[in-house]
Amino acid sequence: MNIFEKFIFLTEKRNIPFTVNFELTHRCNLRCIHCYLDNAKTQKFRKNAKNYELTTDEIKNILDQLADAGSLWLVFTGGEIFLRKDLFAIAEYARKKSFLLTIFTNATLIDSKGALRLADLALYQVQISLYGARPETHDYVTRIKGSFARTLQAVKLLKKLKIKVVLKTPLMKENFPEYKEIIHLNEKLETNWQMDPWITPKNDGDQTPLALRTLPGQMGEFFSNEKFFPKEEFTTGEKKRFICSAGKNLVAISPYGDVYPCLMWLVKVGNLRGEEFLQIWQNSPELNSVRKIKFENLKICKSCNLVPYCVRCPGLADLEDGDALGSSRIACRTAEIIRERVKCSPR
Amino acid sequence: MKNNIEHNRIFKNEKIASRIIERQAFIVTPLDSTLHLLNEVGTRIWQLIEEKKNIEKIIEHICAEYDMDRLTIERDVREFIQILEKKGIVEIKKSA
Ligand code: SF4
Ligand code: SF4
Repeated sequence: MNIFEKFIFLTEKRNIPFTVNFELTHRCNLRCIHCYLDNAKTQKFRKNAKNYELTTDEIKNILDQLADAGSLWLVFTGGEIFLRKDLFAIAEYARKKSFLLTIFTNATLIDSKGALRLADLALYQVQISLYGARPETHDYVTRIKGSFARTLQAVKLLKKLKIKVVLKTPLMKENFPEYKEIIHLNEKLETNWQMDPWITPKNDGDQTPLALRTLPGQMGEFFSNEKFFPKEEFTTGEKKRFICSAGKNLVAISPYGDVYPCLMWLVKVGNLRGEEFLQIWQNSPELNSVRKIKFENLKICKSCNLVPYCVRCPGLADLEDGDALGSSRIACRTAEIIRERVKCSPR
Repeated sequence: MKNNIEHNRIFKNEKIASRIIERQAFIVTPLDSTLHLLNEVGTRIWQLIEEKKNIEKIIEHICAEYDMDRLTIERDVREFIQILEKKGIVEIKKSA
């Protein structure tokens, strides 16, 4: 076991919330067509968000509690986090508390001054959304003209300052034809990249964004590409990836203080305005039942022969198909494609 | 050559990330994004560094808390701090 594996093992076994995905706001300056936040429920908060969002002091207090609970990797995400005027105050505080800090942003609001302040923070990573290799595609997804240019300008500023940048692309029908160009653009920019085809329902269960998902042929091409999925990952027949870290060493917090096992698994387990973090983390009945889930409890999956090829997410199974313990249509479709690929490709 | 690090001040590199979990310090160095794990005594020394103790004070604490002879402790603590410096976890600055 290397140190990293030891760390994951220890934190999972002891339920230490090693990773925290902290949404600082649901407000955003873009209007992405696939956004899971833009729904009737969040509209109310978005309009007058500042009256509802955690304040600077509340967030600092939560960070103190998380540090005491053993959290190390902190991801600030949104919405667009740079819409918070206190972002740097919060981020500087987080670094003072010795968190390993990653931020997730569309980068359109990062200017040269902001980039310099980010460089001072010694961030682990800046993860930035990129929706296409061409302005017309990216701006079509964001529905804001000029967003591609602004994002790219910021990426270049950050790279100049040697900040580690990861460009993340959710693939959908509209931008899939450009995926090779997107990889090429990343190579030119010398950025790390991640792509995935998991367009999800909105947080309130609205399934409209699913119509944007890649077509079956595109999905097949995606999983046939060694760059995305090294075949070895799917030939070991491991069951253990079925039981993910959500609620074990991973926790998510909303801009209003709600606590969830994961941003993808929206079972509300408490709210930090009324309770201390550890009180929720240690005593929530919902979290305790999430932690008890074993492979054998997965009604359909436990006897499925696609298990070695499956990347099922319980949160998505819950959101899309209504049962965190049940099968997940998107995972089943993907597993079949992967199995075909593994069977057909030479060893 | 005698290394006089005891006259110098030891600072935690502000760019690292770290947490003590179950009496073990986990430290991530920024340049190579590597996770380092300190053992029990190493973690105790790390805590003393975070409390801004100088090397003399660190040695005193370790002597009081662990049943080992002073010479071995002095040598081990110095070596350990030099390893931390090499890895970019601490910075050693000359006292004014
Ligand atoms: S599998 Fe789903 S619920 Fe589990 S950690 Fe990953 S995204 Fe979260
Ligand atoms: S999600 Fe579908 S493919 Fe995956 S194990 Fe369950 S039933 Fe099988």
